[in-house]
Amino acid sequence: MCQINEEDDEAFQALKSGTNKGPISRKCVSCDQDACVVVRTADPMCRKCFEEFFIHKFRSTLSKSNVFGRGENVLLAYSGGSSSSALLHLIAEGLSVQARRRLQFQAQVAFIDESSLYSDVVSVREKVTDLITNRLQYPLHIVSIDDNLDKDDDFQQLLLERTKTLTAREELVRRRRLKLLFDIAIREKCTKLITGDNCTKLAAQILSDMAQGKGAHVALECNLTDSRNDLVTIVRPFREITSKEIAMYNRLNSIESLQNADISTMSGPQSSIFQLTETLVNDLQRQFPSTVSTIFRTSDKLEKNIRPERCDLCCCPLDINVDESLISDQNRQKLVHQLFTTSPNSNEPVHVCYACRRLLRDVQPNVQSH
Amino acid sequence: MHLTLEFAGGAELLFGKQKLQTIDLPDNNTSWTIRTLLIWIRENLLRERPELFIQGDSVRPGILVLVNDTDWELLDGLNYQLKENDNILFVSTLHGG
Repeated sequence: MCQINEEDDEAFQALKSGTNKGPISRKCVSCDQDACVVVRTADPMCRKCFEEFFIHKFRSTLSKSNVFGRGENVLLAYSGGSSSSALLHLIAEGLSVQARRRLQFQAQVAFIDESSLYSDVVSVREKVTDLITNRLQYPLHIVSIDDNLDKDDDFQQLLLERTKTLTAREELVRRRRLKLLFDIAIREKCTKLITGDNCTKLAAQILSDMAQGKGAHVALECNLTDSRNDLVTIVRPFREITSKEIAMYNRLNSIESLQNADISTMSGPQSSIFQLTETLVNDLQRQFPSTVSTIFRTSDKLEKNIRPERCDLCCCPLDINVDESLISDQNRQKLVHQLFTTSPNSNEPVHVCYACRRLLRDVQPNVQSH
Repeated sequence: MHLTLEFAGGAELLFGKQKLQTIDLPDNNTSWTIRTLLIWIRENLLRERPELFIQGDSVRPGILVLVNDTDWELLDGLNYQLKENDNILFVSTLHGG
């Protein structure tokens, strides 16, 4: 039906020889001006057409599904990195009075300060406050990653001394960050949480999640809207935009990212499962420019798990039976309460999904007696 | 030959957090290309963890190279012949730089 006889087809042969040799044309595909960037597989574009293409892709992702209600309170997760900086810029433009099709929601910004996790990184709080409160004038909520924790269960110490691997550290931080964002959103009565996840990152994340037994949640993790939390829906408007396009957009618009370091910085390509899959995706992407979209489109076809019971760590629907998911170890139960529940003293039973159960195995529940 | 090098997106962390450097390449008989520039960078600027910046004879995949704000894929990539006062930007798009 959709088959094509590749050997005989002249158009196909021409295409094949065109992609294999010879430099890419230096003219923009849509307007014949000199190109400045190559997007998709091999489409050169000039600055003006690229920006239009980029903004259009962002706006159509948002409007396609009519995600936002008029006047809805929306929380923007800003990390200071390049994706969320670009996101902030686009949303500020979309909300401004001059915007052509103005976005109709009320934006607030959340910044999770992770600087306490690394010793040599200066906090960017002041710069973030200056950008968001003074220049953009959005309500800003800064919460530290070790917010609400007692002095003796310092999160940095827990990560450094009680986790076995960088993978476990990365995953714990990721889950805790999301938990804090949900808490802010609920407190500020925001019903949507916008994140800057781009499709290159999501592709690496999908493979990394699968390798860690989180396959059941892949469909949620890469969807435009993620309803793992009943009160707050995560929205990912950059899910069809690659990291290269974001880097290019930031450069052309002089958008500076404020924070480029995280706990995995300088650790090397083989230090954690996510670092490995990210290296793999980028390596493949260089030779086969459709790698990211192939991984992404494939996972997009997966069906969502919609069981009502949720994991207490990652908030995703449970993928194992309720009795299998119960954490029986008292100390681990306490740890989950400390890091992931708003009321740390509760004695409620803790249920976690398959991947989070494995993750907890790599975390020592308490400091060993000296 | 006089060049401006810029590092962004976390790549600057490998170069003593310096985002902008101006360099003068020694004149030699053959012309400079991005390929030979990378060798020069590795020997002269990159003090630690070269594998986080260079892979084989190219940059690590995930690091975007722009020559005077133009994607290097349009300029023959590694074989681009550098010109006086070119601005070369290396942006890391990898997580955590």
